[in-house]
Amino acid sequence: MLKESLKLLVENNKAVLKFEGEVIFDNSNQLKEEAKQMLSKNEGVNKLVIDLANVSYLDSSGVGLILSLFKFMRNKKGTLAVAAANEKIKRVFEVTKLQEIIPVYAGVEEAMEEEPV
Amino acid sequence: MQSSRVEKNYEIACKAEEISPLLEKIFLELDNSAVSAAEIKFCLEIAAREMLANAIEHGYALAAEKNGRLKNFKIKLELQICSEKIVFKVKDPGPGFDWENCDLEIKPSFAEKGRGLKMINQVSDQMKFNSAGNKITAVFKL
Repeated sequence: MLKESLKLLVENNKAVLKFEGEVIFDNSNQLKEEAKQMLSKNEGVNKLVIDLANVSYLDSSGVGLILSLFKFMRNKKGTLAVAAANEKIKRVFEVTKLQEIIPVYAGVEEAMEEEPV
Repeated sequence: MQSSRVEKNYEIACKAEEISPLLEKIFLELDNSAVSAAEIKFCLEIAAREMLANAIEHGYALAAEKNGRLKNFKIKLELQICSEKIVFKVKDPGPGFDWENCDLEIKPSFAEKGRGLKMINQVSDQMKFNSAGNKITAVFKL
């Protein structure tokens, strides 16, 4: 298993989920389960921003993880956005057309302030 | 291009942590060959990571299921750089798969899996397989 970590910072009904390291096929399933467990303990959260500032790379399984969390939030009438991706990860989003489904912001603050469409 | 042709072979264990060091070696070869286009490196990295992920996640997994995990399975790679193109090949220890019936069109989708090959196809100029389906080649025109 590659080194990775996951933190959930909650403020009222909003939360930032911070990933670190690589989010790839080797760890994405475990990260997905851990993230869902954390979110399940914070039922009031209805706006989630995934902070990728400390993620060096995210592959197709990482895209799957984001979509899984998007569906998880949608099932509880919440929203999900992604922020602070580096140029490589933005390119992965572009190739997979993820940004046509999920809002992608330059920074976490911008994503937190934005009202859901 | 300073050198007209580079041909390198690599072999890695079927482990995720071997991918990043391998990519560093490949990028060093590109730099030494004066392949400087950031766009090519972006595309090669996306494709290479998906090719290696598939080799480990599917090829190795199937080989290990059939022959046991204790066997020392390896992934074999070839890198060719010439003045017109970069060719990157990955051969996994698995039995292969039915690549002829894969849908390679990328559409916005909520599906959580099934993007790897589509991404390789999208970022490379050509993607091809051997008949068994356990060796994939991606070609990038310079």
